[in-house]
Amino acid sequence: MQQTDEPRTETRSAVRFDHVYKAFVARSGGSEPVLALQDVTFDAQPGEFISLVGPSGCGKSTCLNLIAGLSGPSDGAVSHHGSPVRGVNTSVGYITQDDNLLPWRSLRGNVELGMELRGVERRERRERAQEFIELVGLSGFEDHYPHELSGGMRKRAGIIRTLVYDSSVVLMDEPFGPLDAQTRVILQAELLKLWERSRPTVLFVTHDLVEAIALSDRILVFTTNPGTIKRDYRVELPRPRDPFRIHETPGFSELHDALWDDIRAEIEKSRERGSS
Amino acid sequence: MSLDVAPATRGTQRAEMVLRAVAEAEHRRRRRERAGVWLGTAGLGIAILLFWQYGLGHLVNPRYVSDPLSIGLRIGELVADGEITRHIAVTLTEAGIGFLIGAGLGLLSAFALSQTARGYEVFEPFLIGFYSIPKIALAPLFILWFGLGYTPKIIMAALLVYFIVFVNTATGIREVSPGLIQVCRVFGASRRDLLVKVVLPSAAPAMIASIRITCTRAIEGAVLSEFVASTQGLGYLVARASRAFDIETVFAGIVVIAAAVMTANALLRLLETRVTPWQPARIHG
Amino acid sequence: MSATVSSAGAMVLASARREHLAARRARRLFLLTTRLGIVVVVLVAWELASGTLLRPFYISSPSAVAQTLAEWAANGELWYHGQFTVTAAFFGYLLGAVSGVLVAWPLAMVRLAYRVVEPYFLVAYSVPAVAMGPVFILWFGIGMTPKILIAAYFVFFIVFINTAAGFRQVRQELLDVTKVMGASGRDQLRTVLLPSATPFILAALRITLPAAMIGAVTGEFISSNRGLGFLTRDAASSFSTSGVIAGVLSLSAIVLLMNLLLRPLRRALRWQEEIDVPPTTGGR
Repeated sequence: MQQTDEPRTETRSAVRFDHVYKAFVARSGGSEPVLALQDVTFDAQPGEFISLVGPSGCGKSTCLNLIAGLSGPSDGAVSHHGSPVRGVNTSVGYITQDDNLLPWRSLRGNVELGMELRGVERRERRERAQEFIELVGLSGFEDHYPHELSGGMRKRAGIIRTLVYDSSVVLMDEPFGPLDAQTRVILQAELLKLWERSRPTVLFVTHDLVEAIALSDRILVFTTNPGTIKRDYRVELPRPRDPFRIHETPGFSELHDALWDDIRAEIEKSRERGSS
Repeated sequence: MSLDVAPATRGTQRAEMVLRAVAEAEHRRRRRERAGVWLGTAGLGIAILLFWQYGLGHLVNPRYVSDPLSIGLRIGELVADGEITRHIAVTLTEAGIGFLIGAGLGLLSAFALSQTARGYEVFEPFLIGFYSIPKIALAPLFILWFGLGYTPKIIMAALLVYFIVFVNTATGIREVSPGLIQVCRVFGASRRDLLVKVVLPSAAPAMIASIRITCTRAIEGAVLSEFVASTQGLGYLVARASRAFDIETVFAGIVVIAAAVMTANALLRLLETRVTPWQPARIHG
Repeated sequence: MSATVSSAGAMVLASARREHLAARRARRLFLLTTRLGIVVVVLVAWELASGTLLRPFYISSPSAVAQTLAEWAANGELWYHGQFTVTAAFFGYLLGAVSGVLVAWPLAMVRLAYRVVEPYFLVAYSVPAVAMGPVFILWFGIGMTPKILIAAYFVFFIVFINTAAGFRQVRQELLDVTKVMGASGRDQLRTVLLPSATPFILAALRITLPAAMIGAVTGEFISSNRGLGFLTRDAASSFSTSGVIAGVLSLSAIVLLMNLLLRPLRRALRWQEEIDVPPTTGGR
């Protein structure tokens, strides 16, 4: 593996984007490329929880794909613990929008998958998987197949499947997307609990501003078309946080208003462009 | 609490360069890929023909495999003396009429059965039973009943077409989403509205795909009955040649049959994308 | 959950269950009687029409057909000819299925390779399988081999196309996710590609077993001196209508049996929701 933890003095960032541009030709579209990212620069410090928010199609998911090495930047550099990402970056954990569980594996088989691929020994695999399954309250469902689980259960499974193998950087692409509001908040609380255990760096893409505030240390607001970073907010609400009562935390509404103003401006801009 | 970063204007020049570079790279990649596939396909075809022409005869008795040039010449002869045109006309007429009858009856009976709640259920085991009959075994009966003319061939073609169209259409109708029907009921749709506006379009892809698939079967059915007993048609041509050990004519007949099938298939596929542009074809078989 | 159901609720539940069971019984009874009724009406009408409305030479009669079948069963002809047909179908099935999977698999894994060869498979597929019959018989005589090959030809393309589709439709996201988890190419084959192709392969194997049977019969029809196809044709050439119908019935019975035996395969894998491959394939 190329990305080992080499402590470099000049950069301690877990993830670093340095004037990154990314253009690509959509698989289904014509042959005209679109500019997904334009001049994106930011640093993620180890242990930071960062949310990426912005209107749809602003290149947030593209950022995650670049860190995972599923594609390379068109210009600029993406580095991970000081060394540039080249090829698929197997030292990050990636939780995708769809849970992407393997339908032919039981819940336990899915949770063990990452460890299995990394050569963790069977006994240890089983124990760790069990521990995480219990942690998110899925005991009793170990032998169920994904199609036999509810949406919330599948999301939980998808999340622990990645967190169980302790990556120092975890990418999450709208992991709670299609869930109902209650389940969402419950899963946010569970995610925070899991995150506190080992405090990995998290890059979390979401549309939901309340969710972003409840979870993050920083929030990057993206513009659309091309995707650039408009603003970089620091969330200074105290931890541990309670997603159920995050609204009542002092400072919440000011931050929420500020974020909302930014996003609304972007949405209006993109609507004008769409109608013209 | 917040700080501004990256004013959007700074990177625009750079961005244009990136866009241009990506567009060019993509263009090159596509061109290379297309050229590769085209060359590969053409090369493979030429290699197969060359091997058949010059290599295969050394491995097995050339009397059994003939060669592409001789087969091509034979097709030319058959075309020149007008014999093959007559056979093609006969087979295509049989297949065409059989296809129309089979597909028409298949569609009609599927819709008729779907109108009664239990109709399909009552007839299902019989359908599975009929479906299981190896249709070729019926050829002697049809010949016994209808003689050596067009009729038994048309019936065989219609039979092969009928079941596939029927079963696929019926499945398509039964798989119409109940939610869609409910929504339209609430909008006040009548029974006829439902049929025309919901059921028909929903079942259309399966219907049309099955119709395309069955054009092969219609030709197959006609050829099959011609094998069993006939005095004209492509099946007759091939069967007669094979009895006379005339391998060139056998292959010539097969080439013509395949060409007919592929032409029909291509035409219907064109029609399919016209009629149901919203649905990609998904049926294999 | 039932702990929270009140007594009034329990009564509602019980009556709902009763109603449901009664409705189901009524439905089954209706289906059974109508189906049986149809069979009886058709058989009686056939028997009565034979010799009155239509000459028995053309339509035979149920009793004559039953008699022929009984004779064949008694003198062993049915079993003698049946064994050849079933054997040819079985080996043809095996040959076609195995080669279909083995050829499709490597081709489907390499996207460009598949695109190169695809047109040729489509051409070969559009040659009506029956047209190849005379060629196989020219090459291999009238023995078992050409029947096996025709059966294999019927099976091969369906298995090939479905296997290739199974490998090619694997979800790119699953490949990406496992790649980020550190999967090698072989890991991906084991954990993603093979399992995702399996339902397609199984479905193809299910629908092609009857196809193999029909292929074998087709071969026997074109030219042979034994097998159920021969028996039927032999009856036709001696103008024995009851013989032809008896032959058709015994062939249909075998295919029907195969279809019924393979039905449970519709859902052989616990992890999958029922997939339905459209029933477009049999029916020859």
